Amino acid sequence: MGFFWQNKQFEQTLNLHWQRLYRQAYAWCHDPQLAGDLVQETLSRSCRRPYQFENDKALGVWLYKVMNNCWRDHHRQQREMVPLDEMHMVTESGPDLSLAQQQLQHTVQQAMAQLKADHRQIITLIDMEEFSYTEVAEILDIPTGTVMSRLSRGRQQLKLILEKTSPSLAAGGTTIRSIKP
Amino acid sequence: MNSPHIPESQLHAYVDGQLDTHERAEVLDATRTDAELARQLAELNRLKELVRLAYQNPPPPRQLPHSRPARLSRSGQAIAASCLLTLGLVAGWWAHTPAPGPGFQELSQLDQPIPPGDRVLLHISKMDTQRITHALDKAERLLQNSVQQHRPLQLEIVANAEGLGMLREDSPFGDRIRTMRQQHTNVRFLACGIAMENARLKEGREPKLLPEANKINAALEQILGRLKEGWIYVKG
Repeated sequence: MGFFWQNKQFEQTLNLHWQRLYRQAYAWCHDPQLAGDLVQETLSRSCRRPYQFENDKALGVWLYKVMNNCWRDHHRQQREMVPLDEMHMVTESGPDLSLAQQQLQHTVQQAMAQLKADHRQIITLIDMEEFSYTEVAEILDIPTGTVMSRLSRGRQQLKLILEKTSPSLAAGGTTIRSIKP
Repeated sequence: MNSPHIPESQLHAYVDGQLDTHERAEVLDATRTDAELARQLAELNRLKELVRLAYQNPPPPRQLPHSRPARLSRSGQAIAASCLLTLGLVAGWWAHTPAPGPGFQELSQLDQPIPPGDRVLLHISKMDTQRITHALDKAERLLQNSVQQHRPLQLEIVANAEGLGMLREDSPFGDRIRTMRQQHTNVRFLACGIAMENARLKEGREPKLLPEANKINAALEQILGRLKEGWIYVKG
């Protein structure tokens, strides 16, 4: 086992994977505890099946595929989404975020929560993780054409919701410029 | 939202970096003469950026209300670190060896002699009567072998998620666990604190454990700590 702990660069890569998995899981469910459970279950399931990957990208695709299966299983068990009023406010994000940043995140998260779950998944996998359409199709086990059509519909819906709930944000107000990546 | 020359799907593919050089040039050319197209592209880029920003700093998983060491009490670092460690093991295992590494064993491998002085962690995450019975059978055999062969052994049986049911006071395995503990001092039954907290939130009251079971912070934390110490991990 020692080999893995001595490889600092590899640890950094894995650290990046964990953060990305958690962020993605949170974007899917908007529940920090469930997101943590999803990542934990993803890793637990991954332990059960040895697999060899050609590169880090392939490992990433597979991890998200496993997490999607966990997410589907959760849905089968729950048969319901987290109600909007139970969503966790972005004020939990920590003291580093300004009020403007918190408001922006809250507004967009609320809008995203109104999308269909499968649309939201596709948007977040592409926008946050920068997966290709083909990779998303593999992760979600759906045709690439379906990825593209759902992406288009999801973005259109998101735009309409934001125009309705936050016209200045949808139109490109000044708020976004206060955000520092 | 369609341009007469560039279909909407092409615009999405452009902002998502899915086009080849020729196709990208085609879209760029069109935006020079089509202000509406340029506006649509800017709008899509803006939406992408908003989504990225919205989830840039997700809140950490909730903490257990008590008993968590100070170094783990901030921002879900315990779970984050645990998952990172797991991922380190798992991904390293995947990336470098096509077969399971020495720290990971199948339940069936417990029948084979283990090195003297070895330590084994048996992980139960499903409330599956048949599987748990099988796992406990293996554990008992392992314990008996260690006695008969005078081989030192430490065994921890860690339950989380649905597997917590095995260690609850109404567990159908209660008598068997009690007997195992009475006969062997080198076996411990450990219940995941996160699974207990989830059960408390779901049921509205603190779940009660068998007297033989001890609560730990998190199963994953325990598993990873043990793996780092050289224990053998067995998924039950």
